[in-house]
Amino acid sequence: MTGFAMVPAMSNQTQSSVTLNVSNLSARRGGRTIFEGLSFELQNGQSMAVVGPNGSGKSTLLRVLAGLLRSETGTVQINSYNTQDICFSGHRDGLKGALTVHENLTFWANLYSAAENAVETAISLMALEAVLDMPADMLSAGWRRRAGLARLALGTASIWMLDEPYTALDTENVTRIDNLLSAHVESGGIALLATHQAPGFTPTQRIDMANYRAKAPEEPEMDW
Amino acid sequence: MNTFFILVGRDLRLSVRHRADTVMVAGFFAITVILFPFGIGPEPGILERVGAGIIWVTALLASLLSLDHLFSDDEQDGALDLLLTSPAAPTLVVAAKIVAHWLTTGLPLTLLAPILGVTLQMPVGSAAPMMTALLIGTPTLSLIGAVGAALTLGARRRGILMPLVVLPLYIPILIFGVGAIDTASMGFDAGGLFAVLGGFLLIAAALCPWAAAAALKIASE
Repeated sequence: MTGFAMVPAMSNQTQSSVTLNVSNLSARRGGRTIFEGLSFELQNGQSMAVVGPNGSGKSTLLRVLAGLLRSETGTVQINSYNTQDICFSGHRDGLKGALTVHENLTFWANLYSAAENAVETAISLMALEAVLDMPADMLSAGWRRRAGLARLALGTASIWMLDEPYTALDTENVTRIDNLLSAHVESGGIALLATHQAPGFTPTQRIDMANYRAKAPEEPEMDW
Repeated sequence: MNTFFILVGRDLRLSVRHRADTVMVAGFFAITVILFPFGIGPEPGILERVGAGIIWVTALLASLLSLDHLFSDDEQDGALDLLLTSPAAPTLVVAAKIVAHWLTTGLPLTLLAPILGVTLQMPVGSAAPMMTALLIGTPTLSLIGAVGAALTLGARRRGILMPLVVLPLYIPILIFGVGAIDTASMGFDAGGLFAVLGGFLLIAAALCPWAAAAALKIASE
């Protein structure tokens, strides 16, 4: 099986040696180099905002770091002692429409081997009580986002990678996400977020994808 | 192992919610088999002779029908990204999906087959070998099908591409599956043929989850 030993969550203590090391990373998609020469390092309690104009490769960077896309060159090194290294959140929430919000969260909690009361904690952190028994299909975009992001509070992942987490959220819920992020970083986690806005939560570092654009832009391959 | 059951449980729960999908696969199987007596005519000798082949070919096609959603549902709502970045190994995720697919496709077809055998005027004695052959053979269909579903994930015209990839690989199972039923219902010892079907299952179980996980990784890019 997959070495799935349960490691106790260390949410309130400093986690030893969590690092994310990226060196000379570049990525290609559709025959075009999206970014190149990207290097940075994040350690316990550090966070980074990935900013840049549309199409500059924010999502691509996060997907490469999460291991969903292959990089063209360079390395991504993750040192973490947790069973769950990363928690990724993309544009789509990954909620199953036919399952209720509670069932969705319970599934992820089980898969992440979360603590017993983790689901209840996540529900109260994102104030999801009103929609618990509703199928995820019936939720509005904002509620879906909240239910999807409640997944963050379930796991014990050391590194959070969030792609546009604030989409469709009102100010009250933006604050909820900010609080989640602050608590995660304070407890020694690492957070990366691709976003244009981070009102209450100020990442310790900032990377502008516009600086890593491919130097000699190639002709995009035409898809006839 | 726990992770595996969590994943299977989720897919089973989803297919209970979408139970129309399972019913449609079983319905397709039943209706298609029942069409043959109308097309071929009620002469007992002919139907009896081709019955095992009809059951198997229809089972292959019915199994293909539901392969379409095997990964594409999770891909469309983003759950696949989350599963692939979760602590569960991709191979385990794929294996769980294959087991859930078999439980909701192969198993109902296996249970339905002897009843449909009656409409094809197959001898009563052929029910047991037919169920045994399907019980050993249909998991292999799910395993091979998962590789095809993963390879064609995200491709345009997936509905046509996937059968082209998968159906040729089903041929050995078809040959030995039909052979086992025919041999056993004629009263001969079909142990060797069942053993070959079992061999296919073991080979597929050893290779397909890994192959499908690798294909999924390529397709998710």
